[in-house]
Amino acid sequence: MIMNARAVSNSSSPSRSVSVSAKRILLWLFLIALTAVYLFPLYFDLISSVKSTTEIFVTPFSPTRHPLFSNFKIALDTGRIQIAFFNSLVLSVGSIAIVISVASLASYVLAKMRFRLQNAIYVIFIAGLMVPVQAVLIPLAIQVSLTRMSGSYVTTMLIFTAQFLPLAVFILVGFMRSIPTEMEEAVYVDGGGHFCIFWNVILPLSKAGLSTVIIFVFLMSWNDLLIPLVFMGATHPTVSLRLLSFFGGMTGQSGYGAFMAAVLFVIVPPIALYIAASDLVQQGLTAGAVKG
Amino acid sequence: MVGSYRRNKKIITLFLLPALLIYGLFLIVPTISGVLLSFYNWAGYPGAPFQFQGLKNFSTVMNYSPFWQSIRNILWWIVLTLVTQIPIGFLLANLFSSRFSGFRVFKAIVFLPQVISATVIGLLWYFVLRPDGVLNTTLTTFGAAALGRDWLVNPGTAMTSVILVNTWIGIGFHMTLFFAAISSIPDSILDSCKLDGITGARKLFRITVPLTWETLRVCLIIAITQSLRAFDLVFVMTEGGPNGLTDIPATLLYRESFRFQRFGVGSSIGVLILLISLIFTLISLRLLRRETVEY
Repeated sequence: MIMNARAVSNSSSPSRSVSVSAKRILLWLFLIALTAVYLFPLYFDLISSVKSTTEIFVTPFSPTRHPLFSNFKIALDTGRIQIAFFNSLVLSVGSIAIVISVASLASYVLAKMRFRLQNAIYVIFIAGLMVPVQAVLIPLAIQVSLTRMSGSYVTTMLIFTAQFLPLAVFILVGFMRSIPTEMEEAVYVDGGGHFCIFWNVILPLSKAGLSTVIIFVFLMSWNDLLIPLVFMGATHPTVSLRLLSFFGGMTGQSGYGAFMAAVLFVIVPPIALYIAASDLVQQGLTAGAVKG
Repeated sequence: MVGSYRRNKKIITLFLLPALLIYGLFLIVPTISGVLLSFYNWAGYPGAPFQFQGLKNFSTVMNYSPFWQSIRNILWWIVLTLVTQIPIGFLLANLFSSRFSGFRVFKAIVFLPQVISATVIGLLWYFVLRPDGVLNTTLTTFGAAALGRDWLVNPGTAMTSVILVNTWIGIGFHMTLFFAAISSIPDSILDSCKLDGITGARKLFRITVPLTWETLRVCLIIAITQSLRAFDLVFVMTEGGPNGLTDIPATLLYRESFRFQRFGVGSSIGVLILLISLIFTLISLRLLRRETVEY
């Protein structure tokens, strides 16, 4: 009996290792398929950016043998994608600057000071997370056109700021509350004022929260379509607007390759950021969800 | 002595004012005036009078068949998003949480669409789905040309195609949240599972799902509210067409207001979107209230 049992267990072990490695093979096949599904659009864009339109449609999967680098020149000369790139950069950097400065000041007060209505003001900021941008789009458009502020960078930056403030305040107040009171009090006892505390204690210790907000605002403003569509218009197209109009202008059978090249210019900043700091970006974009 | 400096009114006002001003002027005021505006009609140019209409805009919207088409579409969007994004995101997170070598790379790849604009994604998928696009070419290569169609125009496939592209975008988001939740399950519980021989589907439903319930709730709310906010992808891929077939409330609102200058109708759609968002958020908060598991 004992011999028998041993024989059984001996014979079962090789088959188990076979099934384990079969599992591994299945896992890797699945992962390869997953990667293909997720990277295909980028791969397609990359290989199509140096193709003619015919090639893009006839041989969509394979790289071309006769790369048309002139597509990139068309994207710049005709597509003027560099101008849109500049416009978007101004918008994003400006929005980041405004959000960070006003949100960090407000969060300091909301996290560290004591006053009436403190909770009410905090709740009003957070409630903004529930307001979809569509609900304010038309009144904003009217407000902006009545005050003759349309088509301006500053207006669009302020609209972005109002959209991102709730999340920024939520994240920064969370961070600042966790900074021990003793640190501020030490500065205060040494004769430092609120500006000194804010600048030398609170901001340096909120770096992680600030970088989360910066990443979030950058990606959201760089990638947005609806707000620039209504408030920037044709005068200062952002990258999304320019890609859309460049694409729409190519109804003929010439030059989809140039469009693909323009897309490459547009996705460089977000992808570079993602490659450089993928964990931070994943954190930043899901930050609002962590505490619901 | 230290306590009083926390009540410095000057500092409180000075620090709060810029944020409150911007937030007030560009979010609170428009939210309120949007609700008011939905009772008025306005021709859309500076100087045009605002005419009080009562509930007329709402009754116009309610009797407007494109509006109901957009509501049907957004409901289908929400349902399809919930049954695809969340389960797939959860299963991928569960797979990655075994932390096999290289899992970080794959996790980052699935999250990638979150980083790229819906405009770029929509236009690239358009090349896949158009009649002479990648999908139909591939079907023809495999001798299945009969299955090919104009995916973004065909009434049976247009809306669903756009929604599935949105699913493809959003899976990574939910996967990341679930991954964090699964990672925070204490080792002691996982060890006792191993001892008791609880593995596979049983472990998934008895251990992992209950212990990540809180995250599931968050994911549901986010999936619903994000769906109600969708605009870019539809605008880029179909512009709500053909003939309003793929309209969602947001694209309808945009067209009514900024193409046809019917700002009153647009505003009432905006107010309805706001209301539906609030209702959905409150319902899902309530429905999913369940005792959190203590461990």
